[in-house]
Amino acid sequence: MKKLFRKNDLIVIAVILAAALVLLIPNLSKKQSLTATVYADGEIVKIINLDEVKESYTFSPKDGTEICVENGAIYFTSAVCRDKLCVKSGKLYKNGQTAACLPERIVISISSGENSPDMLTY
Amino acid sequence: MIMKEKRNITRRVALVGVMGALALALSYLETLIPAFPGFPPGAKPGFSNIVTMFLASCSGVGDAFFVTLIKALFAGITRGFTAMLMSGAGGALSTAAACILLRSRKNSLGYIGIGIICAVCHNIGQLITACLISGTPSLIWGYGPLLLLFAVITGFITGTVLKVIMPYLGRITDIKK
Amino acid sequence: MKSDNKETGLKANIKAIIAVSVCAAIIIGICAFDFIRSRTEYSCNDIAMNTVISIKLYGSDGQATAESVKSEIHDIEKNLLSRYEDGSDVNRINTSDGKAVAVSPEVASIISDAIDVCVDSNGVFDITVGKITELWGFGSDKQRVPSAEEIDTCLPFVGSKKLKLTDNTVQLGKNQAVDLGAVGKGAACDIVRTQLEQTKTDSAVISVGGSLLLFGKRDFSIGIVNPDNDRDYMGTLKISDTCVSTSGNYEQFFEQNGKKYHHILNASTGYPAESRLKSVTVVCKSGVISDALSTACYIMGYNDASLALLKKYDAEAVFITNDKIVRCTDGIKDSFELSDTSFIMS
Repeated sequence: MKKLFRKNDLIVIAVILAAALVLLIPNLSKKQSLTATVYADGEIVKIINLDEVKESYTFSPKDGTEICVENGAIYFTSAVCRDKLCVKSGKLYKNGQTAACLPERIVISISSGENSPDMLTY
Repeated sequence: MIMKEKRNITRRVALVGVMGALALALSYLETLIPAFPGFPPGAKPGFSNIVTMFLASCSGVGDAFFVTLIKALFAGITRGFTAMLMSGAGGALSTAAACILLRSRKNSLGYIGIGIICAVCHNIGQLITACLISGTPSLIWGYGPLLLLFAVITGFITGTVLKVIMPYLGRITDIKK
Repeated sequence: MKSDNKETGLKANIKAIIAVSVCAAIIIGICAFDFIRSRTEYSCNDIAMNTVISIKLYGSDGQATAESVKSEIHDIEKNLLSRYEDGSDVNRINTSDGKAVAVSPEVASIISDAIDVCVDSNGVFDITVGKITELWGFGSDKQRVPSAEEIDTCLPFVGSKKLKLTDNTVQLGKNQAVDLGAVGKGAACDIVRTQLEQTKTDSAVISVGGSLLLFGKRDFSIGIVNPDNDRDYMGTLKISDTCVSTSGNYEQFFEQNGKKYHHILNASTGYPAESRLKSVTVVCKSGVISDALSTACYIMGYNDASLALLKKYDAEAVFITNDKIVRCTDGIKDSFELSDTSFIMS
């Protein structure tokens, strides 16, 4: 007569739960392109795909403020503010990171392309 | 000899008939359970699988598949073509697993393990069918983890129920399992 | 007896194993094939109908299908909708001088559907507004604000009721001109949809100058352009198998004497609609209807009348007011996600 429960049953359960977890992985690490959005005075002035940057370059969203763009990262290099917290924020390279020069109202924000729409309607 | 065979055949037909009706009744009761949010509609606990598992172990493989077929047809008549395919695929996989596991002499798995495997097979069959029908393979990632988890729970229940009622059912078929 | 049972047990096991393996192999094979096939994406762009065409196809024969879609759109422009190409249906209608003109079934159907919306909008949206559109000259070097007299002279020529459509012949009223600009892109979407059904495309999203066709069962994320900054989007819609159209005051406009004049004319006044809206995005299965409704609703504004109009055609919409307030109809509320917080959800 078969028993109700055997040790092998635990193996079965473990395998299935492991499979369930494995299936969750694609949901978490979808390949996305790193995008940096630069705002000045609340308006977007530049959207940069950091993965596609071939050569580093700098630009000035406002006089006195300089931002450097390289492959996979973006950061303030100089600013006219007093405390230079923006420059001190260092390189931004991950989803969700932000750096801001508050007195100048300049913000750099990183987002992954996951949320970019397939198509725009206008 | 002939009398015995005839009586056996009659018994078998009666058994399959009763079991089939029971399976349909359980199927129908399950559809009354409101669809759980987050689960694909049509993914039900699968209590009717207790019937197919019983037939797989105590009667013939053919009988078990016959009831599976009836369940699928019933689903088709009452809930539509999609439901028939889902029930058919899930049932076929689950019954096949039940046949293999319950008819083997080895005792490596308990009823709970077997119940879980059958439930998992049932859900996998349904999931694959849903993907093919809707043309969206992404359903696997979307519903897969949830259905597997669900199957562990329902398999646990059906396996336990089967073990509990097996001594009584065994008497119907004169088989000690 | 015992050995008999063992043998039959074994046979049954082997049969079962073989059956399951075959089934599993078939199922996995089908899944893999389908998986790979539907993941194959082909994208390309084109210029047609005075705008940008963006194509994203999923399925087999992506490139070939895309090429045929592109040429179909060029054909539509040349043979059906162009105002200026000799021989296009619209051009022949506008140069018919009041005589009946035979048109293709596609154009007849487009005009018929568009007129339904004209009538339901109580005439503020009208495809026979062509004569007045010519006065304003949007997009050309001659764009200007017409005088009140010019507009008053042309207003009597506007009115879809004066257009006679029987079978596949169109007869305009005296001095009328048809302008299918408001529905042309949506019409192209409908025609392309029929075309895609004959191909091996699983799903697709095609943009005809901002009017979208969503084909197949795949959910697409559609961004609604920020009316104040057309390089960015302010929110996304998660939808499938439908058409999307947007009308806004930012698309085509000019400034004269410090005032902005946009190209969406109220057909009953002859002037750009002043409805306190920045844009309206309409989602509806039919491309022509979604195009027509987006224009009509933009002109009508956000009120019971426009909401009733949408309901009548089983369409949903997202309204963006001048105050940057976003209003969604009930059926689409759950599919819309705001991404620009300078807008306020209502």
